[in-house]
Parts: sequence; structure tokens; C-alpha cells
Amino acid sequence: MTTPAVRRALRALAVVAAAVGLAACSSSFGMPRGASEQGQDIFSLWHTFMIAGIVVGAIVYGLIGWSLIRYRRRRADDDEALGRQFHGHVPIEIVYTAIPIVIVIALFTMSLRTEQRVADLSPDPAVTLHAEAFAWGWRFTYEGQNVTVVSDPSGEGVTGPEIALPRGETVRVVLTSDDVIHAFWVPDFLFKRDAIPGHVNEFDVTPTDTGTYQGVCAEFCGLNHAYMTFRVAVMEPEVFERWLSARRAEEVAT
Amino acid sequence: MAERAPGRGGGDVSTTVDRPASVPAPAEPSRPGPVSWLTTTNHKHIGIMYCVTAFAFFLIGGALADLLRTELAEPGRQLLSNEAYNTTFTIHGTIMIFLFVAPFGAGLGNYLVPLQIGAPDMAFPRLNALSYWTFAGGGLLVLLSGFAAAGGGTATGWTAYPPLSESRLSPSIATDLWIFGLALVAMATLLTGINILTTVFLMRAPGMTMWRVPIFTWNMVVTSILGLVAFPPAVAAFGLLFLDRRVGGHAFDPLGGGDPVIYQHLFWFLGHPEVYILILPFFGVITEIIPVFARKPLFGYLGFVLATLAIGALSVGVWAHHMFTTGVVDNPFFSAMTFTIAVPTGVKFFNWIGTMWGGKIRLATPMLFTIGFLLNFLIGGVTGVLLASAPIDFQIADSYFLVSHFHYTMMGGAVFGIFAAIYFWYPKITGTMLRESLGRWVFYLLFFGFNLTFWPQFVLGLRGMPRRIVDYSSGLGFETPNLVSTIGAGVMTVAVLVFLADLWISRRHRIPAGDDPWGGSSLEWATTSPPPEHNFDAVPRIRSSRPAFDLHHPELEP
Amino acid sequence: MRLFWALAAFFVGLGVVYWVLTYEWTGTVLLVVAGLMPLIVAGWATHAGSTRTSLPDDDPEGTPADGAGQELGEFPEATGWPVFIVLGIVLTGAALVYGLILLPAGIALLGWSLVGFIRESRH
Repeated sequence: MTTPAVRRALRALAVVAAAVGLAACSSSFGMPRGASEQGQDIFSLWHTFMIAGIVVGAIVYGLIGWSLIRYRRRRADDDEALGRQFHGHVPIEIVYTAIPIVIVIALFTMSLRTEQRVADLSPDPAVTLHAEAFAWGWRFTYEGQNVTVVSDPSGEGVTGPEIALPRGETVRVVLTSDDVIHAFWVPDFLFKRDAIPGHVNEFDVTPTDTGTYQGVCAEFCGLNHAYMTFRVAVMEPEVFERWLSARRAEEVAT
Repeated sequence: MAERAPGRGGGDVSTTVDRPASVPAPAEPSRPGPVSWLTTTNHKHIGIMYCVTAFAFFLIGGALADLLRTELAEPGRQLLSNEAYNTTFTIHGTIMIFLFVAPFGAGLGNYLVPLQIGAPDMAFPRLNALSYWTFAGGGLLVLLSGFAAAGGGTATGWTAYPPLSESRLSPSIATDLWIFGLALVAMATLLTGINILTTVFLMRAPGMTMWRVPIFTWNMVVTSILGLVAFPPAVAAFGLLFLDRRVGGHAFDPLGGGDPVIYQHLFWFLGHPEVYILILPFFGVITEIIPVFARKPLFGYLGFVLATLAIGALSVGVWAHHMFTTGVVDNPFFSAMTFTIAVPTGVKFFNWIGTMWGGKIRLATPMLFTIGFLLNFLIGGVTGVLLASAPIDFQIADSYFLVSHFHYTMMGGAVFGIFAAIYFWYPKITGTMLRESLGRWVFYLLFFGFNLTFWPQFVLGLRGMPRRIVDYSSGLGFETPNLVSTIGAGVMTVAVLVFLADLWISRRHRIPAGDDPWGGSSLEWATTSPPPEHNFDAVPRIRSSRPAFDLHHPELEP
Repeated sequence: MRLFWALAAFFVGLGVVYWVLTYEWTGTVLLVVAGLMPLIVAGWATHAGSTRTSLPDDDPEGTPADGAGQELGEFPEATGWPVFIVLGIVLTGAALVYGLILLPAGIALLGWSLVGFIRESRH
């Protein structure tokens, strides 16, 4: 089976696999890397899962592909040719039941630890932001600051409201809904949470990178669901304080 | 000896059938006239009616999908109003799940299960007829709910979450029609499930022990049990929703002391097993096809049975993985249960590969679709494992990543399974062959078009595009993947048209199929194509799970 | 039917685990009731099975001759009632949308066809 040609091909394959593997190690596989601590935590979990998924996928695709190549009926075979008539192989079956069980337990454990960290609520958040979702916009209120940011009536082409968050500090978001189920989703934070009428959902965000990030409603809520967008601007804490004062002044003036 | 009642339809009400012991001459299969279709109780005719009706719904649902994709090809609104778009995706989802894939599976089961176990018909033929017509009537009502009445079509999403689906925000009577139609479809499913279970448990031919029953039939058994367990809570959910909407109930209304989350529990208690109800028959289909085209016995029969039972049982315990982002369910419990289901599914994959291993694989059209199923469903399954992790789910739930995941399992899986089943059993059902050449075109177009449509949707989800939106802003990186996805939808449409052409041509210029064109293993291949009225003029001796194969290869008999 | 006993035990067991972990009512009720349903089948099957002899279906050495002459039951040729039952249901549903004036017609059709269907089975 291992002729020189086959060995050369396998060596080439190993080189390619190593190159692909190295590229994969640093790839984000399309996911934002996370502009918050919680987001980065989820990102590294995602990365691990993707590597595991690609390896499993490559093995299974490889086996299928190999079967199709190696065990294809050849023109030389007569019409009635049969394959090898075996019904099973218990040791192999046990192995490929046990290995997935181990993999799955490992993946679950990692996932559980990440969830506990992400869902953890700090005893002393620097800022508390009340986010009220309604059909079809948002009302954001900074607790104790006398600052409220509200959506204009939504529609095609209308950009939603912009809220600010301080970089490096923990923000508690208190999420509620006035009417139907909505969801608060900022893809760059790798996090969404439903806003359910009759329930109060709380979560912490600790932004790490300055910038402006898109926010959307992620639970179908009727006619203008697509237009319930908002933006999150993460800024240095001093800049954030100035932003708050400016908004407070605006409110007094109106 | 069997006695026949005089005439067809009318005349005597029933026939008492005895099992034949010897081999009389094969009977001419009767060709039903139009009125007979309305009154038949024959499981084969009912199975065909289910499949044809389901496929018609597929064409409608597919046309709706093309509308959605056309609207989304570019940012800005071109084609549909907000209301129309929302109704379109609601009806698209409802049709594809409840009126296409599930009934197609039921139809296949109806046709094949009695044949595969050597029975002359289902246990309750008149109930079977009632099931079909109930499904058809319910389906019609659901279709009407898409554009009924002055209030507009129902636009709640196929999941119909309250409070959006309550009467204040969905005042149109269309939503009530939708509820009523689905309740009927649910009833039809329950009746069919009872029929299949009774038939398999009590009407097998001599020697056909449960451990020799084909895996397709086993899968229909588990599907039926799942249906019986899972549908009632959903009907309860819909009933409570109706009470909230029209009779002053407050089950899901927080202002009245209710809780919308309860609806989600009830709905998903059905919703998750429902997707296994959708896929299990097609797991069965490909488990029948691979051994035939690899010319080998099935690898790991017991493993298949145990894995199917495990998948069925576990699927009842995972429902709230659809609710990870609500913040009010025990995420770790559901996450752990969901991860567990990956294991039996993986076992099946390895058993399928084991069946191909060492074979002499012929890539006829049914086998092509089967390979397509394997390649697509793997992606669906692996992305499912990603979704099983609650924190990862916080990012990808309710986004296009999720949409792509379920289309990879349901369309890349079940629909490819449907085409595989059609190409495989059409000769048995009609006695004529479909065209191999056209079949290959259908496969390659569908496989290419499908992946072109849905792979970019993973990208969209990761870039932050939520689902169920009529429009998106430019400058977020959504334009190109959406455009590519729409092109893919166009390619799939062409594939379906080629398939319809194949059907048409094959009916006009018939190529006779014979009893067993593929070299099949299970009992249906041991009778004529199409089978006689009570299926078997003579049931062969059954000593293994592949009686037809044994009949043609006595030298290998166990 | 050991399968149904096993299913009942699995669902009820899962329900207990779920309750202990979450104290969540809806899910627990769903799981426990899901377990009670196979119990009905298992109970009936065990009771019925105690009086019945085994079937040739379950005999691995069974031959077609063993099953010969076994009366499998009545297989009705054809029946028109299901179509009328469903027309009655659809008419009733359509009455919700297109006018309650259709309601008496729908209910009458439904009633007549249900009665017909049931009487047909008594032949």
C-alpha cells in the first residue's frame, strides 16, 4: 500500500495540513474577536469549538471521500459484484461511541465555565444602564445620572439612538420590555439577551476597545423589527463623563 | 384464500384478508379513477396522496422563499411591504415544517411500512384516510391564513410567540385560522402515529421479528412515538393562545398574571422533537439506500436501533436550548442534554461510513442524494454542537447563523433525503423509472445551489445580521453574502424545475422498472412494482433483516 | 412492551432530575406527563400480553405457512366519510373568517359525516 508515490503524497498532505492548521490557529473563523471581556471569553470558546468541529469534519469527510474513491464500483466489476459481507465490528463501534462522549464532556465543561464567567454579575458596577425595549425602539436611562436616550420613530433609513459606555469599567445593563419580546444584541460584544415583558434581565458588560458598535433587536417583534437598531460608542472614562454632562445639559435645555 | 369484494369503491364495505401460504399468479394492480382517490383506504394510495400534497406545498413554500431571497438580495426595500415580508416568512416556515417535510415522511411511512414488514395494509385503514384528509384540510386553512381576511395574513413567525401573537398586536383572524389549521395537522399526525405503531407491533409477517425490521420502519416507529409524546403540549400552547386571543384568557399576558415564557416551554417541548420527527424518517431512508448501492449489509444494525431510540428519547429533554437567551431557564441542563444528542448522531454517521466501507459503490441518483445528505447534514450537525454551548449561542442564536444551521439539517438533510427517497422508490411505486441523466442534473444543481444559498448565511450571522428582518443597512458587510445567497436560491429553483421535467418525461415515455431494479434488501423489493392491492401474493421466507436480498442470493443465506 | 416501560421510566426520571436542578414547573410537568403517556401503553400491553399466545411474527423461525389462514382483520374497500368530515371542519373554520353564517352548515356537515363514519364501522 505505501509505495513511494503514496508516501510522497502523504508527506505533501501533512505539510498542507500543518500550514492550514497554523492558519486556523490564528483565524477568527468569521466571528468578531470581542470588544468586551465577556465577548473575548466567548470568542476563545468559539475558537476552540471551531477547531474541534473542523477536525471532526475533516475526519468524517475524509472517510466518506476515501470510501467513495477506494470502494467505488469499477468498470471491470461485473454487475452483480457484491461488497465484503460484514455486519458490524463491535470493538470499533464501542470506540467511536466512547470518543465522542469524551469530546462532548470536554466541550460541555469548557462551555459551562465560560457561561458562569459571562453571566457573573459584579457586586459593584461602575454604571447601571436601564434598557427598555418597545415596539419599535429603545429607551436607555443612565441610573442616577438624569440622562435618557430614546429612539426616534423607526423606519427605513433612520439610524437609531447612540449610547456611550466607558472603556475598562463594568456596566450593568437592566433589560426590560414594554410590550412584546425583543432582544438586545451587540454582535461585537458577542452577546444578546431577550427583553421579555414581565421579566427583568440583568447582565454585565466590561468593554475593552474604544469604537462604535452596531446594536440590533434580535427577537422578531412585528412590523418594524428590522429598524430597531442602536449604536454603542465605547470611549475612555473621562470622555464618557464629558458625554454624560453634555447629554444632561441638553436635557435641561429642552 | 383471499376473497375479493365485487367492484371498486361502493359494493361491499370490507374484505376479510387471510395470509396466503402458496404462490398464486400475480394480480393486475388496479388503476384508481378520480373518485377512488377521494374514498380510498389503501395505504399505498394514501401514502402517494400525502407525498404529492406535501410536494405541492414544497413548491409553494419554495416560491415564498424565492420572494424572501429576492427582497434581501440588496439593501433597501424593493419588492415587499413590511407586512407582506413578515407574513411570507411566517407561512414559508410553517409550510416547510408542518405541511411538507413532516407529511412527506408520514406518506413514505404510510407507503413503505406495511410493505417492509409484510403486512397487507395498515392496522386502521379508514383512520388512515381520515388522517390524510385532516392533514389536507388543516393545510388548506394554514395556507388561507397567509392571505385571509381584511386583517392581513398572519405574521407572527412560525413560532408565534406571545405577546406578539396576542390579539392586540396580531388582531387579524388569520392567526386564529393558522392555529386551527395546525391543530388539525397535529391531529392527523397523532392518528398516523397510532396507526404506524399498531401496524408494526401487531402485523408483521412470520419470521419478521422486531430485530429484523428494516431501519426505515424502526425510524418510523420512533418518529411516531415522538409525535404522540410531543404534539399534545403544542396543541395546548395553541389552545391557550387562542383563549388569550379571543376568550379573555391571560395565560401569556404579564399584565394579567401570565408569562410569555410558558408558551415557549410548551411550544419548544414539541418544537424540538418536531425537528427529529422531520429528520428521522430520512435517516431511515438513507440507511436503506446505502447498503443497496454499496452491495453490502448494513453495518451495525443494533447500533442504528439503539442510536435512534437514544436520539428520540433525548430529544424530549433538550427543548429549552431554544431559550438560552431568555435568561430564565437552566442553561447548563439543556446544554448538557443537547451535547449528549451529538453522540448517537455521530454513531449513525460512523455506521453509515462503515456500510460504505469495503463495498462496491454505485453512484446512481439515489446514492448521489444520499452522499449529499451526509455532506450537508454533517455541517448542520457540527453547527448544532456550536449552538449547544450556551455562551456561543448568546452570539449566534436568532441570527442568520441559526437560520443556516437549521436549513443545513432540514434542507441539506431532510430535503435531500426526500429526493433520494423519490428516486429510490419511484420505480416501486409506479413500475417505471425516472431518468438517471436528469436525476444527476437535479442533484448537482441542488447541491451546488443549496450550498451557495446557505454557506454565506453563516457568514451573515457571524457579521451580526439578525433573522426575520425585511431589510438591512448597507456598510455592515451584509450585501455580498446576501446577493450570493439569492443567486444560490435561483440555482435551486432551476434544480426543482429540472426535477419536475424529469417527472413529466418519465410519465410520458415509460421505462419499465421490474420488481427490483436496484437490488434491494427489504421486503418491498420482493413483490411486484407496483405492488398488488394487498401487497403480497406470497410473502417470502424471512430469516434476516434483508429478506429480498436473501431471496436473490440463497448462497449467502444466514 | 419493554420499550414503553423504558420510555416511561426515562421521562419520569428526567423530570425528577429536572425538578431537582431547576424547580421549574412547566418543564417538570411536561416531562412527567410525557412519561405517563408511554405508561398507559405499557400498562395496557402488559395486561393484554398476559393472556395472548405469541405471534408467528415474533418467531425467528416463522414461515409463511405458519401465518397462513391467520385472519388479519377487516380491510375496508373505500369510504367517503373522511372527505366529508374534513369538509365539515374546514367549513367551520372558514366560518370564523368569512362569516358566522357558515357555521351551522359546517357543524351540520361535520355531525352528519361523523355519524356516518362511525356507523360504517359497525357493519
